[in-house]
Amino acid sequence: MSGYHANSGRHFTVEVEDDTGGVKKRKFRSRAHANPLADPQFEYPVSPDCVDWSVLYPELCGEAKTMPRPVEYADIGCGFGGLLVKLGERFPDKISIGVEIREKVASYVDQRIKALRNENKGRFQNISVVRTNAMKCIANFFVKGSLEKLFFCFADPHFKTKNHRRRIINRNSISEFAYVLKEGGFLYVVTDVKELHDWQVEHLNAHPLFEKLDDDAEKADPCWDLMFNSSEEANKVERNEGSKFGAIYRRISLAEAVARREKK
Amino acid sequence: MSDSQDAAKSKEGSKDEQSSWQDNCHGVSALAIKRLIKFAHCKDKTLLIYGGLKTMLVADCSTGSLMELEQSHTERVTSVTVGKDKEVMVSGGNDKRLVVWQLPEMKVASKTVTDKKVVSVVLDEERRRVVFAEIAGEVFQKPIDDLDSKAEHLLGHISSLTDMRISPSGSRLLTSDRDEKVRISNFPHAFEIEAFCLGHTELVTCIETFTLAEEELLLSGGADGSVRLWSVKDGSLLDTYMIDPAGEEEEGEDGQQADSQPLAEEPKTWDRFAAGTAQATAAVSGRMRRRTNSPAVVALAYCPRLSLAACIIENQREVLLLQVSGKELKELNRVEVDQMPVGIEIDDVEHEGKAECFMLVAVLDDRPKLEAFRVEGGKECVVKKIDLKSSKEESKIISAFACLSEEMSTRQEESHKASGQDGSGQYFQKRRRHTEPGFKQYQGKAD
Repeated sequence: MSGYHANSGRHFTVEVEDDTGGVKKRKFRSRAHANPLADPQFEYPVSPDCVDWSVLYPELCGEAKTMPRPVEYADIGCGFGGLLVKLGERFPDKISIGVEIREKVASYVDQRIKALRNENKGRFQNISVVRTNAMKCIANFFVKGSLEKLFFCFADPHFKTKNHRRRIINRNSISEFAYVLKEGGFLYVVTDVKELHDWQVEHLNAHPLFEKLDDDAEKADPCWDLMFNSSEEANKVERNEGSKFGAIYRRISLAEAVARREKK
Repeated sequence: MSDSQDAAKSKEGSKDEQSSWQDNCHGVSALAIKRLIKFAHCKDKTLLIYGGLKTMLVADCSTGSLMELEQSHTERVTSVTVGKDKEVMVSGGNDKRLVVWQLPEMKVASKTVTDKKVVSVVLDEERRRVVFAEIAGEVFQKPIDDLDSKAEHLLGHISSLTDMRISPSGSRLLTSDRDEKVRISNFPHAFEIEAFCLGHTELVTCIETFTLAEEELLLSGGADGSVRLWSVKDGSLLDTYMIDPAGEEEEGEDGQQADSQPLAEEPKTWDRFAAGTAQATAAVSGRMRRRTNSPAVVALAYCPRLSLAACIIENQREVLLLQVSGKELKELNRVEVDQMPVGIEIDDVEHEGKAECFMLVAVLDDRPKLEAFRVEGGKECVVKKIDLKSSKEESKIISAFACLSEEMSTRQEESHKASGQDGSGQYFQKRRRHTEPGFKQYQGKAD
């Protein structure tokens, strides 16, 4: 352990708690950053028909090894899985998936989910995690218009200007997220870094296929509290008494987007 | 104790990842050697354009000689497109320049500079715009009459772009990238992705689009040794032609996992299938994919009248001719060439009232030259080689080919090996970080 962990940058502090049946976080420490623009160092499916979902959702797929319906909620950059677990509990009829690029962190979440499944028979079968690069490979996993909700919680801010194109929300990646989200689907962003929040809001506002919900609609959304309070990052921000900024966007159809543009 | 074991295992894991990561560079050399050779059809004559290493060479097929051109491009021209009205042509190249030419005199109408090297240019007829794709992954558009105005961003890939086309109807923009994808975007609303063509297992080197039997189709060649036929409407794969069937994995059998290549020797003790490990990601990904020994497709060309696709393959001195028919690709013929092929064009040229199909292959070992063939359609697809030196007097067209070929070989700056020394190959190569552990042992690794 001594040669391995880095003390620089946004590094996850480790609490050696006995959470979720003995899976200790400290064995899964890893760097907080991963370069999403680098060529993936892992396999990813050629297309959504190639994905073997029964590896992730064995009970749901059952004997036939086919999914009853496509995945509905996706947490991009799920970190240690806090939001994912809450999504699984709050929406038992919806299939949720966490996408994480860091190998060790994805393994941790997998172990955590397996432990939860073991302890609570029949529950938590609707959540799973996959290790992949959401910026590059999201279309390889999800069929067009199949997701209902996309979450981007406490994304890596990539402060330097030269790294801004690595930010998960940028003008090119938004088109791909709009592709996998169905019309009328929702996209949630929350962060504690004001500059990143401004960037995300600016880019999502500028993209024709997304429309920001107004303040009342945002507060009324069932996932508004969830995204602010569920993940480990959120709890860390609370402890450090930081402030959080969030927004919800709705994916509109092409026809609606073109009509809006013409109105302007 | 267990902690130090974990640390050791994590280092092992990262080494394995590095070796499979390096495999990702397959196909880069094919991208670097590709050269442009294309017929430009004007109103009453045809021009033949060659994108040389430092300049563009143009031969006039009606006079049978080379055309004098204004100084315009200083590096390799990668793409040329002719407007439907046949009066204007736009060229873009590695010198980060776009030049608009007046056909048929080939007079420079205007020029402009782009941010990055231009991979492909297409024309949007309706709105009179030039759409150009930059190597870094962004696609922009500019009005053709006002090239100095600010470029409007149309779409971008999270990867380098390798080729771009616009569908015959002008309603779809097709872009291929280094991440094995071809993206079909709505045009002009390119922010809306209509479909992805997913199927290639290595980077896509070239695409061609055409209409066949009232359907818009797309042909793509990849570094995985396959030429694939797709439907532009929904991005579905219609047929695949594998150049080297010997190495083929099981295709089309769902749920069956092919024999895994050993991605990581030892499963980590904490859980064999914990989501992050190589086994887990491979298990979720279904079939195994990488076939890094397959020959890469360098370039494709399509002849609409005969529905023939011609493609050249890296390190193979032959041209592959495929018959495209609605839903299928079928190998018709293989034509041998003397040297390494780097560019291909197959198209009809009007000749004394009738259209004759010529196939031109730009070949390069030490000095580039052209090899010309006459192609007759039909079941056997007879291909006759034209000896450029002796048949020079036969017709103006052949004399044009011969002139161009001679000019190509005699130009001083053209002489070098077929290894893409103009730097674009380097761009596509992954830049390795020098601080990574174990970097030195992978330096200079040949395969």
